[in-house]
Amino acid sequence: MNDHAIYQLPVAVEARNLGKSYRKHKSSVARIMDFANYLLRGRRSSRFFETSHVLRDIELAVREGRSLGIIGQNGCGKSTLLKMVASIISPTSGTLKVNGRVASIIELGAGFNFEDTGLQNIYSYLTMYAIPSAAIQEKVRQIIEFSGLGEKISAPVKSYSSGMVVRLAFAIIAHLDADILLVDEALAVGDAVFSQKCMRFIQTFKQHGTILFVSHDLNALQAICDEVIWLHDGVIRARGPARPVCDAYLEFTLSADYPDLVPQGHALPQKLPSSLTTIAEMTLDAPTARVEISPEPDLSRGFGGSKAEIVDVALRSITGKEIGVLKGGETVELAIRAQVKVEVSSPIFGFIVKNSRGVEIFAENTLHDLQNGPLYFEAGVQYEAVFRFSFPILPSGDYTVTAAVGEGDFYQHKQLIWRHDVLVLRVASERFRYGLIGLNDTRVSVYRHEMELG
Amino acid sequence: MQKLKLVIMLAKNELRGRYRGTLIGKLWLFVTPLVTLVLYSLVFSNIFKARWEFLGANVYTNYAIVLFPGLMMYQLMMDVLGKGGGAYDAYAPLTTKLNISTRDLILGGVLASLIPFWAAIAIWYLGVSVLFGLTPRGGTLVLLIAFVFSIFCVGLAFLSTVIGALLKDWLQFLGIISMGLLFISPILYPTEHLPAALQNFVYLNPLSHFIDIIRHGAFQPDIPFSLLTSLLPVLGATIAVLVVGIWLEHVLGRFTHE
Repeated sequence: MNDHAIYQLPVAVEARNLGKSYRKHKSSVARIMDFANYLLRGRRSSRFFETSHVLRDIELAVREGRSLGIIGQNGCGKSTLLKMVASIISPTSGTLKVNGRVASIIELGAGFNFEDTGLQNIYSYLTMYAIPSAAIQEKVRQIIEFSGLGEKISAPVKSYSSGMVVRLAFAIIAHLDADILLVDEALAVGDAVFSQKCMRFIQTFKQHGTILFVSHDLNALQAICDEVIWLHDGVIRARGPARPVCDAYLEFTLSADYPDLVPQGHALPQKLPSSLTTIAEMTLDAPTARVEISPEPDLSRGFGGSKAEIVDVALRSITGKEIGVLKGGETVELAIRAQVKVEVSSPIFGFIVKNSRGVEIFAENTLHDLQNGPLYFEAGVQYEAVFRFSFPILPSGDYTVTAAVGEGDFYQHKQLIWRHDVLVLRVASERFRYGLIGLNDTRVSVYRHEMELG
Repeated sequence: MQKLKLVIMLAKNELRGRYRGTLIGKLWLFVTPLVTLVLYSLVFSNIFKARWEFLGANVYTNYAIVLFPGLMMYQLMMDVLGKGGGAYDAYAPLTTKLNISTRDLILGGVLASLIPFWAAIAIWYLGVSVLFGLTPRGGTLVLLIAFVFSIFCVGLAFLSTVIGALLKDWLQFLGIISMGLLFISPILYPTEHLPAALQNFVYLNPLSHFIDIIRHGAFQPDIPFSLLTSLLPVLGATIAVLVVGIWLEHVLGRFTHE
């Protein structure tokens, strides 16, 4: 969307000169005096309290369907801003306009009565968010299905694991018909499959709704947000597209913690290298991990299926043996088997491996073959595609494999069958270093530059 | 409409929570007042020999049935004062994280106290009707004053909220005055037992007026009742308490948030 088109959109959240401060009264007597003064004369006097400003001069305009990320250190006012948008607290100064229904994930599970059952809590929440009675039954059904809690929904919430509480809370928030979604650090929820579901929900929500997203997870932030503001000590220190603002923030936090690591903007003294002497040759020990593969594929989630059905997905060794565990670096086979129901003229097999935040780590499909012509599948036959590749080294966490069969060419294709999170790969890495993927077999040489002063 | 649904939901949740997991569940709604009644009757009518001789011969010895409405009103009043007084702190975990107002939470809490109150009053008046007969005049008066008292308690809850929010000592203070409100009232004994000088003192307690009227309706429906001198002041006080309570609570909301 170009800038002009964005400015045509109606504003969902608009703040003008917005500020929030808290007053701390010097004593009980001061509090009563202040109240009496306020009651009788409609004024307040700073004699009675100390003011601390949490937010000052916030100017914002988030248009419908856009997403705004908010970053900043603890206590910079991020949550306060969200709470004002959610009208949980009211501004001290300035104006704040919010057009649309707000659902907030400020603290998942806040307001749950732990003695009540999951179902009773759903009803309480729906009443609190003023969902009309006519729609309640359908909502309850959708929430139970989304949460995946099944029979547990009739048990008291106190018997839930913390992951289950969060799943229930997220499921409720996702079904409040909100126009504006406020998310505060809540996405590291549940297991891998459920986090994927949340990320998918947020991605889908983005297509029509407005999102305000607070996170310290700069990757997730960049994946979700069109624009980011950086709050520092209650004022907006930077704003703009996600990438540069996140980079600036990262540099700031790093320099606050490790001032020596960050370039200070002046060049090092120039010295001319004259010769190199090798002082060490190293082979870095590859950061292996233990990858556990879920034994049975779960083919229940996704869409499509009328023309083709995925009947099996397996990650196995090149000898075709099922493997429960691998360590990264070895060659494996990922096999996707599909039952084709009607004739398919240019079929495509593909898969995506995502981490628990929904970031696609690697993916491949049969379109990327440049030598052969398109395939052809007959109706009523099973076909299997086997991808052989060297399995990468991954940091600890849960990963999921999504598999699909499509039809078409590089420019235009549609999915015949798409299955989310078919396999779960649980990676336990003993000492993974940095980034999303580990390097295998890395060699390093360290040289000594013999300098001559220029 | 939506607010009403919310308040009803909050009250239901509170009542459900109160009796959850107990052996006899909702029966406690009736057991508690009955046991209290039996206990007070034993102590006051048998040990202290209290009698309601001013209510006529047929009620004279029936200490418990006269005591009951007063006791229920007293309990309701202390209940809502306590709920209001602690509301700002008690509901903070909800109001700072969810878009729900302290006002709605208090109304839900008060409704949760009103439901057992009305259950108790209904049972009591059923008993009165069986023992002494039902008259339309008396029934109307009992229902009316129970309703007015309920409204009075809503106002009190808001007033207590404001005081409690401004002055943390309020809950401690309530503990002390609760005793006074019980004894300086016609709940346990007829006012006429007091020396004349003290009798007026009893009527500083707002409860006394409500109790007199509800007893009048139940036990002396045939004696003329002056609306002007008995009911109107009570009605006026109720409206005043309600209006001032709601207004102050509203001001307090702005005071704490802006």
